[in-house]
Amino acid sequence: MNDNFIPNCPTGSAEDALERALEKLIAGLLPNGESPVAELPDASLSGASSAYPEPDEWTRLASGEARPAEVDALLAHAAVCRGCSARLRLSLRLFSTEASPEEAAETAKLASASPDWQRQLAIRLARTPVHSQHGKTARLLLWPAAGLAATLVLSAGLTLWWQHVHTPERLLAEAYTHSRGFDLRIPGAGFAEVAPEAHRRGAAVREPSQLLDARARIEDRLHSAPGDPRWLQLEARADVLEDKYDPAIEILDRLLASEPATPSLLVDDAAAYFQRGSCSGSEADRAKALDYLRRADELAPGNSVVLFNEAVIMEDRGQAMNAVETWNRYLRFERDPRWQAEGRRRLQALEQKLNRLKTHAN
Amino acid sequence: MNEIGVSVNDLAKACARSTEAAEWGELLRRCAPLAAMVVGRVARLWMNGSSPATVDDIVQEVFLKLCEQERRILRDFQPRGEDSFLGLLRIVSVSVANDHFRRLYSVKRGGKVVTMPIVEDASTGKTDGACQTALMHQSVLLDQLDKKLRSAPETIGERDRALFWLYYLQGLTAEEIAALPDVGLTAKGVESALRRVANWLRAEVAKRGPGG
Repeated sequence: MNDNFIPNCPTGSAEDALERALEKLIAGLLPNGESPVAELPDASLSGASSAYPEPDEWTRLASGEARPAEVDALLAHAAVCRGCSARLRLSLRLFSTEASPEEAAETAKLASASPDWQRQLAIRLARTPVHSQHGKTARLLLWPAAGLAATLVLSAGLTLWWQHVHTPERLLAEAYTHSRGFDLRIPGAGFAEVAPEAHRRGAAVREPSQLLDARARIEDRLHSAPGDPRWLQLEARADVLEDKYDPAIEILDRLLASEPATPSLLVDDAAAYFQRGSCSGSEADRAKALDYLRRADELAPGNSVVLFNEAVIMEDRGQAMNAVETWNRYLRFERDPRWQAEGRRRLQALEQKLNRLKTHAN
Repeated sequence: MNEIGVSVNDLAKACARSTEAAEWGELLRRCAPLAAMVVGRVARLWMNGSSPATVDDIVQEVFLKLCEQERRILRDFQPRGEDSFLGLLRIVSVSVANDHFRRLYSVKRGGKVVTMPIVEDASTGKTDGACQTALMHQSVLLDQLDKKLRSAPETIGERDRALFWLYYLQGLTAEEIAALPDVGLTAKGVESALRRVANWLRAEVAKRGPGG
C-alpha cells in the first residue's frame, strides 16, 4: 500500500522525498482508507487545537449557530483529523431531506416506521394537555394579565438596558472617556480630551470606578472560562488603560495567532504596541502598531476608530502625506461631531505644519 | 378532518389543539421517518450509530417535546413556506437527540464527553512492520508539508491550510468545502484557492538549501 506514496528505501534526498510526497498527495494517490492521519498525533499537524470537538459542536456548525472563530477551529481540526473530517462530512448532511439508500433502508426497519408504533404514540400525544381557551375567564383575566405582561416587558427591557450599559466593553469605554490617557481611541468610547496629567505612568492615580467594575467582571468570567477569547481581549484592553502594555501585548499576540484577525483585536494590539513604544521609545513597537492598523483598515475600510488611530500613528511615524489622506478619509466616516472636530483640528495642524515646511524649503 | 389532502404545515397547526389520535397518527406517518433519519445522523456523530431501539426512543422524545407546555412549539409554529414544519422538526430532532446523547455520556463518563472514533483505524492491528515504517515516513513528510503551510501565515492563512488538507488529505470535494459555513467561496473559488496553495507549496518544497 505504501509503494505509491513513499519509496521503501530512500533513493534521493529528503527534499526529493518531500516533493514526491506532495505530488502524490496532489495527484490523489494517497492510498484510500489508509490515510496516515490516524497515525499522526493530531496536535502535531493541527497545531493550535488538539482536543476533539464535542459531537454537538458539529451540529452547531451545520445549523450555522457556530461563531466564525468556532468554525475556523472546527475546520482546522477536521482538516487533520480523520475521525472529525468524517463528522464534518456527516454534519453537512445533517439537515438534508434526502435520504441515502442506506438511511432509507435503516429507517424503514425501525419500529417507529410501523403503523402500530405510530398509532400507540398518536393516542398518547392526543392525550397531552392542550392550551386552554376559556373565553370568559380569559376576558376576566385579560387586564391583570396585560398588566403583568407589561410589567414583565418593562422588567425585561430594564434588564436588557442595564446589561447593555454595564457590559465590560461599555464600562471600559466609559473609563477611557472618563480619563482619556492617550491620543489613540478604543472601540466604542465617547469623546474626551486627552488628560495626560490624570493618567501619568507610575503616578498614584485612582482608577475610574468603571475600570474597576469592568476588571472585576472580566476576572470573574475568566475564572470560569480562562481561554475565552472575548474576555481575554477585554482583559488586554483593561491592561492598556492601566498602562500594563506587556501583559496586554502577550494576550493580544496570542489571540491574533490563534483567532482570525478582527479589526477590534488589531486596534487593541496596535494601541498596546504604540503606547509601549511611546513610553520606551521603541521604533519597532510603533512600526508594528501601524502595521496592525493597516491590516485593520483593510478589514474594515470605513471604521472611524481604525482610521483615527492609523492617522495618529502615521503622523508619529513621519508619514505626513499619508496621515493627511487618512484624516480626510476619517472625516468622511466619523459621525460624532466632537470626534469629528478633533480630527479636523489635527488635520489642520498637520496641513499648517506641511505648509510651513514647504515655505521653509522654498 | 380529511388529513390526506392537508399540507403538513396545516396538520401540525391542527395538532396544536387536536385531541384526535387520527390527526396525530397522520402527522406521525408523514413526519416520523424524517425525525428518525435525522436522529440516526446525530447518533452517528456521537457514537458511530446507535441501536434501532435507541433511535425509536429518541423519535418518541421528539414528538413528546412538541407537546411540552401545552404544545407550545406547535402553537408558536408559523409556516414560512411549503412544508416549513419539516424544517422545524429537523431542528427539534437534532436538539432532542443531542440532549439525549449528552445526558447518556454525562452519566457514563461522569460528566466528561468522550468522542468515539467514527471511522475504523485502518492501521491498527493490520499492518506489518514495513507498512508501519512507511506510514511513519508518510506522517513525517506530511507533517513537514504542514509546517511549511504554517510558516507563512501572511500568504497561507489558517483557512487556506484547512481547505488544503480537507481536500487533499480528507477527500472532501470542492462542492462540499464550498458548502461549509463561513467559507464564502463557490466550488470554483475553492478550486482556485487550492491551486494557489498547491502552487505555493510546490515552490516552497522546490527551494533547496545550499548544496541541495
